Amino acid sequence: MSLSEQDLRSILPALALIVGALVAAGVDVFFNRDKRSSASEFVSYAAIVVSLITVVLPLLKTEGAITGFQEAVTLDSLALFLTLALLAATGLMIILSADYLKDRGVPPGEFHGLVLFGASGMILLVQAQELVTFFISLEILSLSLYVLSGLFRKDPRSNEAAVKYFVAGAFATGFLLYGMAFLYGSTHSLRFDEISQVVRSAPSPLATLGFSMVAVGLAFKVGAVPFHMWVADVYEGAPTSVTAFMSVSVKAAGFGAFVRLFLRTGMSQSEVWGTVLAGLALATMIVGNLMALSQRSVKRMLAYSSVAHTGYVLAALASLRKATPMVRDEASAAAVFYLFAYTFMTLGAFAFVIWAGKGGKDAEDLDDYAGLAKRRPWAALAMTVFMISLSGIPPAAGFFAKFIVFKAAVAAQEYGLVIVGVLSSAVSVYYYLRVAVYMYMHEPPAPTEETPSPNVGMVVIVSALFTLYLGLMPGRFLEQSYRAISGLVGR
Amino acid sequence: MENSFPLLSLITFLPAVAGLALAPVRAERSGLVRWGALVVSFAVVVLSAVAWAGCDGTPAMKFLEDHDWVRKFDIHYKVGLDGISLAMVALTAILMPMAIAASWKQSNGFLVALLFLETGMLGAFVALDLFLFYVFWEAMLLPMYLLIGIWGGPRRIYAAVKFIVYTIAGSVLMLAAILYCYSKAGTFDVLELQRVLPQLEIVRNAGSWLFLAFGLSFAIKVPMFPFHTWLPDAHVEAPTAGSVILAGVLLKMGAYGFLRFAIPFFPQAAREFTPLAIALSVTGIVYGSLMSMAQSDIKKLIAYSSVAHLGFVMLGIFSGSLSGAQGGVLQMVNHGLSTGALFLLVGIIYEKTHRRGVDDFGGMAKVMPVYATFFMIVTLSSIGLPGLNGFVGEFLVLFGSFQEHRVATAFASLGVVLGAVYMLKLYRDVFFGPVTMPEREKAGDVGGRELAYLLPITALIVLLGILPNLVLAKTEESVSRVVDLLNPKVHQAANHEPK
Repeated sequence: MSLSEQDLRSILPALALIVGALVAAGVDVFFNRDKRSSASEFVSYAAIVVSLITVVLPLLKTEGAITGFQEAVTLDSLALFLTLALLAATGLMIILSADYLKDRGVPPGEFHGLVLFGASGMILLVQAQELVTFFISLEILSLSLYVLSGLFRKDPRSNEAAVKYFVAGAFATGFLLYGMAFLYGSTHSLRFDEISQVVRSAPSPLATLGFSMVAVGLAFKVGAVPFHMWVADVYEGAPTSVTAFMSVSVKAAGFGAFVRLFLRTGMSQSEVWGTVLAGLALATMIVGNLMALSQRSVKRMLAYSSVAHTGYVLAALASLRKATPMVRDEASAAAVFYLFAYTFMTLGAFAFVIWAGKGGKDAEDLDDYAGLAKRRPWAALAMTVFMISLSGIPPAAGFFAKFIVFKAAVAAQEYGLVIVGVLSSAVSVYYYLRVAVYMYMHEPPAPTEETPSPNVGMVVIVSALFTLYLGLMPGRFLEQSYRAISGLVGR
Repeated sequence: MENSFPLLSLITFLPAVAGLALAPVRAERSGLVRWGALVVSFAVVVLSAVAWAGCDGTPAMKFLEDHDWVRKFDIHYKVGLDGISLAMVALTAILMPMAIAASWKQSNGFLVALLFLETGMLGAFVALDLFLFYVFWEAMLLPMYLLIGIWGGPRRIYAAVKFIVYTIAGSVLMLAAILYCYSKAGTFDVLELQRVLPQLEIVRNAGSWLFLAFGLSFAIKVPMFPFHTWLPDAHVEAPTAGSVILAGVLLKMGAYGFLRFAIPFFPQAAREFTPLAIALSVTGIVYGSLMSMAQSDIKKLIAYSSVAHLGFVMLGIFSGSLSGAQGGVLQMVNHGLSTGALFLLVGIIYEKTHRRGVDDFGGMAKVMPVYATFFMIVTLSSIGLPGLNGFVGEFLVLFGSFQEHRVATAFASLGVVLGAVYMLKLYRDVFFGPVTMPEREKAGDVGGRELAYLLPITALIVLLGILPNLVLAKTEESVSRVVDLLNPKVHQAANHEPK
């Protein structure tokens, strides 16, 4: 098998990161101790910038998809659009971790290498049109994240997170592989389009079983109820920058792959599937929001909030079951837009957890937020933007994302999903705004030494501004979301 | 006229832009923020006066602006003004400088929040696109939430959270209903929806549910009887300016919602629910009045009196007669002025004494004669003394509802009597008798700053009592279009015509 130019072009964004990862991992060997961290950081930024260029150029040119490796991967508009979010999350995460690494003595090359490898796995996952590529890229991202969540080797919570994540992840992988075996056995193909043809002409129970198990595996990864047990502990124990990274990017990549698999194979039209997804969506929205209500740790609250948001994306996908072509476009685009908006508001919120910390500790407990607005009014305002965005209050991005998800669900006549969705997001107002209550309305504790990092501050401010922009002027990114799914359906 | 000079956008966004500009000012330079906020709010008053002059009383929308916002979903930035929204915009604009003057000693953030709140309220009144309306409707909750929660009384956090959770729980169901209407009618344009929705068979069948979804959200805001429990808490804990704006403008948002959206969108369902709405309004009148009589906290007393007054507004709107509905709209303005003035007055003695229990005061007429005079005028206006504004509104409401709903009107009239009882009792306890606490004598009477906002609001109270037509002439045509939708006789006639 020879490599053609097209093969290379189709994986260019991921390739840039992989090269960057290899170089960054080598930095620890070739540089002396005090230059390592800046050198590997520079390599990472360079890799991300190169990758970003390879994404933005085709996005602006609106050319067709590039497929490579016998159509195992494709660089279409869905992959490009979600890669944009993934690269942004990766870049912001590396900025977030800079001070963190110095304080804790984590080898920088190892860290940056792992992050870039993980990101490349995510990008490939969204690009995959074939089960083996799908599986391998999912494992690349998972393995990187297992290690990253155990980054603080001397912190028992970090270790616990890594082990829990690994065990839960391995369990999910088992499901996934088993499901793939069933799919291959019943359709004699690994490619999405060929599987789709077989399933459409002669649906078999074996294939349905295969799909179910693949879906369970993915549900584990994105943290849908009832496969969400690991989420809170892992998110709480992992280093906060890693939590930020995995909460947004695994979701974007996992759902991106799910959307492609789902639409490409025509499973989105299946009545059985729609019902299962609707059930998952209902359970996830309700349980996620109710569990978040009682959390006193902001990190755990955000963990359950990420479960709840999984529910809203699932609600969009569940609306596909009875949908006409127009509604189908709307629902899938709503899911993609939601993932995009979610990336920035959640990343910003986790970044704030680091920013509001003091004395080398992140602001995990609600009490750490007491009276913050008096000391740092602008920072508190930024966090308020994230909180209202996550709870779906206009004019932030989260509102518009929820708006279009519910709009698609109404168009698909899924009124149950809509009612539960809006009511559960009304419940979420309570726990999100509790952070604002502490920041604005509680008395500050005795003043202590605070040295907010400017790097982290920049991430917070950029995310807050973008969250507001996306809420006020959603037009352009909405068009992109529509374009992203246009190549997937009904062709 | 369309897209000529963006007068309404200027009115709406001027306060928010000023708020953004004033937000970074350092705490020490509070004078700049105060005067800046005051000047901006006066500028809004002047611009609203221009808008007032430009509205000739015909029901068509004036000062229309229409721009694409999110083209994919046909969401527009569309604003316009008719008689009803004109009255509300004017009320908001007038109350704002007074609220700012009453918060002269507050911190910078307080005034910035007030400015953002003004943009939210004005935007909700002028929006003619449902999406735009919803954005303003929700966005204005946040500044109010902060006003209560940061600068409020001892139980401020409880009150602020209750306020926002109550209102949002109501409005998310409205969001679902908005989306349903869009999925059937294919537009967010309010004028288009008013035309199309009543004629869609499928919407008429689901009309009761949709009306309830919209209506619940508005009924919580009004607040109508069983949904009023957030109001006393919010009012008692809110700082003076917060109470003034909450009572003066925010509560009107609910009644405005019924007039602009719920009734015109689903006239048939509105007619079906008229008996319920009237029963709840009258219950609110009697219950609010009785609760007021039992209060020992002056602010809580006024809060419950608001429940009763808004009951009159809703009774008028649902009475199905032009005079009743006109009275309802006039009463919206009146209540904004009178209750706004009452909260301003209570704020003055609270600022001086840090007390607001009825029993904490006595013989204040001797200590603060000028203050007592103002309080008397406002009390009489609230009771509905002929010659002051409250009388005209209440009279029109009762007159209008009497034709169709005699029993309800009889109970509502009872509310007028009870209103006189609790307000005069309050006045007697606070202003007459011996001075209970001698140190009160040193408090001093109203100063120049207080006079500066008490005089104009009292002047308006008298003016509207003598010349209610100033408002009524502007609103008549717009209101009558809504009333026709509710009047069963008009409707039966129209239905029989073709046969």
